[in-house]
Amino acid sequence: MTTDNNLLGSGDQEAQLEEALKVVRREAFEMKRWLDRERLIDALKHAQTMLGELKTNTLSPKFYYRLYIDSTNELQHLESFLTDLAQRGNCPLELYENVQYAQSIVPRLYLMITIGVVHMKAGMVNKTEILHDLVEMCRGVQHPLRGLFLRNYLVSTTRNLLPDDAQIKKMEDGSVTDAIHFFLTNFGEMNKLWGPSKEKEKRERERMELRILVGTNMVRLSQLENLKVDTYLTRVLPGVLEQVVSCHDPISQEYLMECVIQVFPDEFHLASLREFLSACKELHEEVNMKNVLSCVMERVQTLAAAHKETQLFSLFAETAHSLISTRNMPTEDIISLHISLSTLAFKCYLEQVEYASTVYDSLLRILNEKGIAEQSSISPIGRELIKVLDNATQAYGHVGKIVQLKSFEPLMNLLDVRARCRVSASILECMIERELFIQNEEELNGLEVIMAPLIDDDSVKLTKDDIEGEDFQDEQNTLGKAIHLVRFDGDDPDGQFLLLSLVRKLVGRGGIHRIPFTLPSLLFALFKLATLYKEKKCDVENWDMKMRKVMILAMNCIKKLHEIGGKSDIPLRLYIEAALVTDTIPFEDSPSIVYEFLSKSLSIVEEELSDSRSRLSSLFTLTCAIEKTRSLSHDDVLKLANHIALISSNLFKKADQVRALCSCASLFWSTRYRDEDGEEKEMRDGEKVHSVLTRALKMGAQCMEPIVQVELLIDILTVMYSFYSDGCNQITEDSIVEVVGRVRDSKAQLEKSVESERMDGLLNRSLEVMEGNIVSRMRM
Amino acid sequence: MSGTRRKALLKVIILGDSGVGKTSLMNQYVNRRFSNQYKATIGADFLTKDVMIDDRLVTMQIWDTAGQERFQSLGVAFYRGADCCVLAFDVTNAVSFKSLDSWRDEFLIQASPRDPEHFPFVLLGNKIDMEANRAVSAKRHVTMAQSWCAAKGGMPYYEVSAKEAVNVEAAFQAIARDALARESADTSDFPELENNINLNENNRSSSSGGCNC
Repeated sequence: MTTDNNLLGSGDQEAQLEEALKVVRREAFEMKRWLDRERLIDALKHAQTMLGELKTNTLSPKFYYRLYIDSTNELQHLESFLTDLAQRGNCPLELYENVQYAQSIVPRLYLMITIGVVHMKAGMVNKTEILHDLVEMCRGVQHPLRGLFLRNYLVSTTRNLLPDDAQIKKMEDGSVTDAIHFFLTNFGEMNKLWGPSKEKEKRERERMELRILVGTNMVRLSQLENLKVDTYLTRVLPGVLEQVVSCHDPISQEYLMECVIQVFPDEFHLASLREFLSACKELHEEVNMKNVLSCVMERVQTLAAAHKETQLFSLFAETAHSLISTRNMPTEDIISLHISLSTLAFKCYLEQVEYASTVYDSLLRILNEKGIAEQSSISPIGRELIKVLDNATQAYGHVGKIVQLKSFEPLMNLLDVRARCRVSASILECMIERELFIQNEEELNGLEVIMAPLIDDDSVKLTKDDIEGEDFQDEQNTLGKAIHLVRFDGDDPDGQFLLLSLVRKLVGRGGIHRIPFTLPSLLFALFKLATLYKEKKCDVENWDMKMRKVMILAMNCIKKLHEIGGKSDIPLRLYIEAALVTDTIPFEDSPSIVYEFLSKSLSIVEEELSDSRSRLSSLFTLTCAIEKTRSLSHDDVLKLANHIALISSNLFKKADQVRALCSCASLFWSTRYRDEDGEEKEMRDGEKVHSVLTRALKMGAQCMEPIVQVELLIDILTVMYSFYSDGCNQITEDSIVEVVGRVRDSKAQLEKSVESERMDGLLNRSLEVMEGNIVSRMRM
Repeated sequence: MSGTRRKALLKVIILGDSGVGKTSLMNQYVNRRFSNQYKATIGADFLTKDVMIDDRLVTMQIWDTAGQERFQSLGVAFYRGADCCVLAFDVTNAVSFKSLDSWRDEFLIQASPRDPEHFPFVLLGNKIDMEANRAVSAKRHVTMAQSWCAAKGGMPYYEVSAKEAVNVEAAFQAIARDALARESADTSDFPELENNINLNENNRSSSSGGCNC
């Protein structure tokens, strides 16, 4: 760029700039002082010295820019002063000539431009002549950096002064055609100055920094009010493209093409696409065509979508493919171009899948030819591939639509397993977010095809890292959520049952690592279905049989989960939940199925829970659940209650035994059952209650720790009293009074402590409750 | 003209995300024109407008800037010496509101004004003509913008439409007033020069190696 070799390091640059700025400030100060005294010639001398700093060779573009900004900012004061003079008719025309005697050319031209602008503003001169003069005179500075900034000053200050009328009104003011000519000339000169130098590598960074100066010409052109589409097509674009193509420099070409796209309005692009795209084919081999094409496609797509021009899409597709076939483009760029093409297809023709299909088909063909396979999500190709697939997901949302792109799945298969899982999961996330349901078998099949790596253990073997990874767990959680999207169209429970049975098969293929994420979801979907059947009882044939099938399928799910899961607590709770759901739906077999669920959970407590704490808490949960049921037969309740009592009295710790027995005693009393006539009754088995509580008392007495013993006795007392007051004749006043006595005896042996005081409190509260009934005999 | 003060020159910078309407705001204010076409801005440059602020004639130099970073490849030297900074966002685009903090911070770092705490900023929420497309409901939006402004030391907030010229004039008038107040508060622009005037030192620059072209 700057062909001199004396560029300084950035620390030195800073110092050099500071030096120069000091001169600028000092001279500007002087200039303004003379201006205040209206001594124009003196002021101009200082202006000239100030501008002399812009002759430097030693600053890099960014530092030079700072110097330029400060200097031209000071020039504004001069311009403002002269404008005032001119308005009062006191700005002599000779001034423009006078400053041409300035010694060096850079200050001279800055001053000429400033004065020229003032004269033009005041309407004292022939605009077209002055503009022509200035743009030609600037040729005198051929140093790239200085020349570019000088011409930038020319374009900046003439802003708003350029002729912008469609027709010539006054001969000397010119028309928009003159303005266009002015900019195109200036642009051509700047592009030459900006062009590559021999020291290519070294100057590339500088060129990247300076490019905006060249682009400013185009911004100005685009700002001309009377630049209409036809002039753009006939004058501006051909002029610019000719410059671009003929400079044979990749940096210039890529940047300028982008500029054209960015600064001119979309309507212009739409009208000139053919010309623009054919120029693209003539660009240098090293130009990144993906950037250029993506940029133009992005700009026109909104407008194109409104116009629905079929030709437009094919024009882009054609250009893209001709560039791909003639150039040595990196594979990731090829994919990236297809992303832009697919976006265009989706925006303009979302409903006509054939447009998008051609994009995905051609991409597949190209990638197959290149032998692309097993791309990871972090490889450049893999990354772009995921993006192009996600693009379809975002556009269509629903898997049923995505599978209409026949190349979607084969393209997915060019990725490795991990990346395929990611693409699948984003489809599901999208469907969950937009609440797009899976409503029939066909859609479910589509899911199965595309989601194989996410669902199927046979087709994809997982490594240990896969399974333990956070990604895997997130994806499986998403899959679990997605099961709730399965909703048969039209609220028909039979259809939903069919779909869920298919889901069961699908999920079953997931193997031991996926099932724990997916089966619980399916189970709750089945519960929901059961409720749906309950509501639709009148409309459904063979209702009892179908209800049975739903709950048997649910049972089978829990069983499977239990077999593979290794954990007991989740299946245990699911069995209980299933029992409660079944209990609320009175179908033919529901009592036996409720019993089956409960007995299965009881078996888990008995056979698998070894930790006494979880055994006890599970017994509590189970007891509560059984108390809630109302459909079991008398025999079944008795069997379950007896068994729970048996497990309770076999618990490891005495204290646990007492607590469990106290809790399960109520099973024999208040649990509801159905007799042969279908009538709901309560157990009311006082004998059983009595024997359970007697056993509890016995165990309590064996408890060796005094404090714990007292507390247990108070617990038993409370329970006894509740049965007594509920009319259980087997719990007598005498027995209660006896227990109160035992509590007092045991308590008397306690040393006085915080704990013993707590016991006092507990007992007194219990006694207060009993007061009025049997209190007289207890306050002895 | 002797004895009168030089006409004040106020430098105002407009910042904000690409597409929020910085160029349109400036064009509406200076030229009273509006175009629906989107044209990106490259680099930065200014338009000037003479205005009367309390019987003082002021030249406003309004700098329009590129919202896209890649069109700012020469850096932001033009921030320096600004008298006021206008932050603009698009009321239909929530992202452009979120960017305001970084635009403000960036400005304060690069322009390094003497008293950053009290440097005058003004916030403009543009495109209120597109009410129906607002990112959030109009009422919530105003509250959001106002509380953001309050957190920034009571920055003035204007809801404007460059398209329909709503509030644009009023906002810039207020901006000029703020900037002018600040300019008068500055005692001297170049205090370091007072003891350092040497009219004969003009030739230093020729030693820096510049040629005569």
